[in-house]
Amino acid sequence: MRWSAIRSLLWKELRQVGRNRMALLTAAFLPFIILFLAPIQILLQLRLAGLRALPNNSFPGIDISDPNQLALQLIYPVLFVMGGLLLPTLTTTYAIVAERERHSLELLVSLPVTVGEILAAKLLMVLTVTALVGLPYVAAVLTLLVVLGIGGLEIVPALLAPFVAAVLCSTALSLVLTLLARDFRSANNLNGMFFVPVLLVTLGTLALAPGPARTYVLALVLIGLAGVALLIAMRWITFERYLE
Amino acid sequence: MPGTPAISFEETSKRYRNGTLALSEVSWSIPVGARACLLGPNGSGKTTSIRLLEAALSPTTGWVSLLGTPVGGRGYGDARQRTGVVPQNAGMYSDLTTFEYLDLARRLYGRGDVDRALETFGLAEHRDKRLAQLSGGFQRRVVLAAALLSEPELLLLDEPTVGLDPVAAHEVHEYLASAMRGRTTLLSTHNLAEAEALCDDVVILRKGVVLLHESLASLRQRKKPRARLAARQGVAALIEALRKRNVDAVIEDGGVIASIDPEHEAPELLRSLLTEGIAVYECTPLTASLEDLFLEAVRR
Repeated sequence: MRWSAIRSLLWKELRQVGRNRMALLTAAFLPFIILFLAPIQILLQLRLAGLRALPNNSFPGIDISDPNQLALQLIYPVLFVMGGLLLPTLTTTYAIVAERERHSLELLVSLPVTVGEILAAKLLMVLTVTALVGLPYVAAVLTLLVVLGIGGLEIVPALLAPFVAAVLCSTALSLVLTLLARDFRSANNLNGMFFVPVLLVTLGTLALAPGPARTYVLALVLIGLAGVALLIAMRWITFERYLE
Repeated sequence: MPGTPAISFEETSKRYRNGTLALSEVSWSIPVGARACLLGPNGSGKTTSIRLLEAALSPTTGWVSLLGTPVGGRGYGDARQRTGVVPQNAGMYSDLTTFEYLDLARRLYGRGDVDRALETFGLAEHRDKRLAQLSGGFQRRVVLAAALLSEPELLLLDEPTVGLDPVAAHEVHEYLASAMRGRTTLLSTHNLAEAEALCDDVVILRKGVVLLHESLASLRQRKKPRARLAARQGVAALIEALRKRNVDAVIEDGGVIASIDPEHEAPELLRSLLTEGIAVYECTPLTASLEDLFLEAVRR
């Protein structure tokens, strides 16, 4: 794959998505609630009232009688994973299905690019848009958590890692499912299917992984899933099916 | 490299996921400098062949090479940047302008002058229009402009005029005729008039198999020469007179088509007929059209 070709295609993708503000707004709406409103509401509760303590050790490995620990080791990681899973799906679906529905892939492959370069540029566009839309929310919440003394600086990478990993995982899974879908509607329906299983994997990993490293373990698990999905998408499914 | 074909298929097959065999162990090539047309009915494997050359599809078995480089292999990127492609009836972006698309093509080819291309193809006034807003004729001009932007050595044209009205198709033909001059070209079409006007060599595909690969000139030479005759006495009398002289003749479209070499046999034959009192007032040499040759090959 040539980086110069991917860069040129990325420029095209960003220009196109920038002109489709409705798609961007729709993509940003749910993550706004999950990545910003919900964390802020929990933060307020922690500061003003304190989370009502649950019986000790009802979640394996976490002292949930400490509201701060409960928030940092379970609630925020789960919220950030949910936000990271939701954020890229619509953009990925839009970037790929739109090409199929208007038959413009034929136009694109008539230029000197490979199918792999086209997919790589689309994935980079999704990650760029996701970073632009999601990172400000996450950064604001992390800043507030540190400034208000809920956690130290070590919580920044510990909570950022599962968010970034969830974005990568969601992008790769959406890519596989969107390539398999017939149209925009079926792509959206298929994309809804991976949300619950990945959330179960998230909860399972948080329960099984030991101590404060659990969010990093979760990030590694999600990145592993992303890698497998990406391999399937690029190697076995690919855009070829759109051109057959 | 001298002697290296511009395009080559070696025992190439392509089977789609749904089981359709689009190409079945085809082997053919065209040399550098040739202007060849790829003919065949719908579903014969023409577009599949072009997509294999673009590396948009991979062959199931066999090899495909472009400008001496295996498709998808080492050096293919460079060969691909020296090849302009006009796709068949591609969809157009509603969120990219003419200039932006051509600029994307320039970046990907690594060279080219977008403003000059806009001028050459009469697109300057449509520079900032979205591609989907252009008429079919202008959309095809944009695609041609993108394919020719980098002055490629090789042109792959997949049904470049399909779906256009006659005026737009005529305009595109004029651009094509000029673009193909001195340039290796593979034109995939089922428009026989287009192929005849623009190409020298013919590759005929049917059901994924090469039926024929020959130059138009040698195809025509192989076809028995014929002449169309008409006489004042009428078709029946003329046929009888010809048969008396052992000349094969048939009635076609109300006229008599005689199997004779117009240049070498016609003068003697006409003299003989006129002497006998058969008032021949027409003798027109017939050149086999590509349509005749195509139909003959497909029906074989």
